[in-house]
Amino acid sequence: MYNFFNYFFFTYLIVLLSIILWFSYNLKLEKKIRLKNVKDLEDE
Amino acid sequence: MDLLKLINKELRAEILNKEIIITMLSFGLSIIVIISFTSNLSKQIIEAYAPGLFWLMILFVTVLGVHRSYAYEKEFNAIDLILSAPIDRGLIFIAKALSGFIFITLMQALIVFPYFIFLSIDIDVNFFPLILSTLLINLTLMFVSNLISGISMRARISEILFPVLLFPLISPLIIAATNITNSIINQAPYIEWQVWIYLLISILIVFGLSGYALFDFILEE
Amino acid sequence: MFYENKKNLYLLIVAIFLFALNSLNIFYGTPMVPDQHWAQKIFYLHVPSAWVGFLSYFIAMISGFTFLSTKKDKWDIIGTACAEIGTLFMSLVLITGPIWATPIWGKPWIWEPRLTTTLILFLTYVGYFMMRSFGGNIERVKKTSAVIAIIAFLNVPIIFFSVQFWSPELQSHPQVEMNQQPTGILIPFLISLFVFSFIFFVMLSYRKYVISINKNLTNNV
Repeated sequence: MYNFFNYFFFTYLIVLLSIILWFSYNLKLEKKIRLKNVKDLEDE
Repeated sequence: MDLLKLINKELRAEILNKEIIITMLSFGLSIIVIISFTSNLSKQIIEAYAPGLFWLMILFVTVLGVHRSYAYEKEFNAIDLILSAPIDRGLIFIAKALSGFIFITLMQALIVFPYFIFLSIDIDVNFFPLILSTLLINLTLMFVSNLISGISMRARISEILFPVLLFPLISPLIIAATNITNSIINQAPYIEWQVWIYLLISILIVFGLSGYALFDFILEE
Repeated sequence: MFYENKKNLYLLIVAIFLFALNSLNIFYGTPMVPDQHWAQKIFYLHVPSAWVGFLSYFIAMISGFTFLSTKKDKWDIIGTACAEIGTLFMSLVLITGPIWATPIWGKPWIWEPRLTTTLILFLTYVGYFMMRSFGGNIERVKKTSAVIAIIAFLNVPIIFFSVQFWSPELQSHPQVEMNQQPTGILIPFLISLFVFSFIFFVMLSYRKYVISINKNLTNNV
């Protein structure tokens, strides 16, 4: 591509998606751990 | 002195069953043979690549040898016995590094001849700087390898963890070693490759000091 | 939940807002360099990622030291969080680097000092994560991973200088000097740097929290 826009856009998408995916992974993990901790407390 | 006693122990254990040297030698020889089979290159290319290939082989052999030397300690839990002795634990690191240095130097002295014969390399070298720089490289190599081997020793997968940890951290040393040997073989004046010697000395100081200071934490159970 | 706390939620929203502003600035507010056009703008993403990665590994080294001297778990948690986030950003550097290099320099990868240092640090931290997952006894794993974090970062100047002296012909690829850029490029770059650092601290505080509430600590923390 003469103006190389595709290169930049692809790079930007990679950076954006990885940060978003990181946050969503950690949010899901937190929910799962909270549920597990509550269940452990109930079992005791 | 404690350090001398520790080195004495390593050397005597080795003289008794000669395990480390024989492992290193046989592995080195097999690497040389395999390299000869996989390279049907012209003589000039092999002679140009010869120093790098030599240090590559020494690196692989070191991985095996140092891992073996620490595996000794794991058998019968010998490491816990040493740790219960009232000695400075950093000295264990230095003793292992120095004894490893003796082993690898011995092994190199023996492996050089098959290396040159099997790969048909014909090089005119100026021996004195070559031997001195090789000794320095061996010493640095052993200090770095022993520190990393101490770190990975107690893990279950220490056999794979040790090379995985070692190779990235040893890259500057390999770059320096290859450049020094190349420069000596091409008979470049000392001023051109002295920067690599300084780099080696700084690696030696950094890893030696961190090993001496941190070995206490590494070896604790 | 962590983000039910008003302060944390506020910081997250500020981070999202800043990132959006920064992206708009990169798209519309930066001058277009002739010959390189849009590919040059990858610079505003690539270099701040590298900066955040190195900052993260630096904090990992400091918390390694502090963990070894105070033995408080809090520092191990910070170290692990920094290692993870740092590795994430370093992978971004290693992915965006070749994408940037292909239109600008022609080849995807050259052995220049900063990229090589990034690669070696990344590989060292691969070993760090292997140690954390497969190392065995968790208390020992914490100490050894602190040591790995320390020597990984101590190695950075060594690697940098060794690659710099390694092949002078590689230096013909011009390194981007920060303080010689015209203001049209320097100011958006500094803004991007600030935004990435802000996002890094938001990510760090969240990851620290997630690791610490995992009470049944398995080796896969």
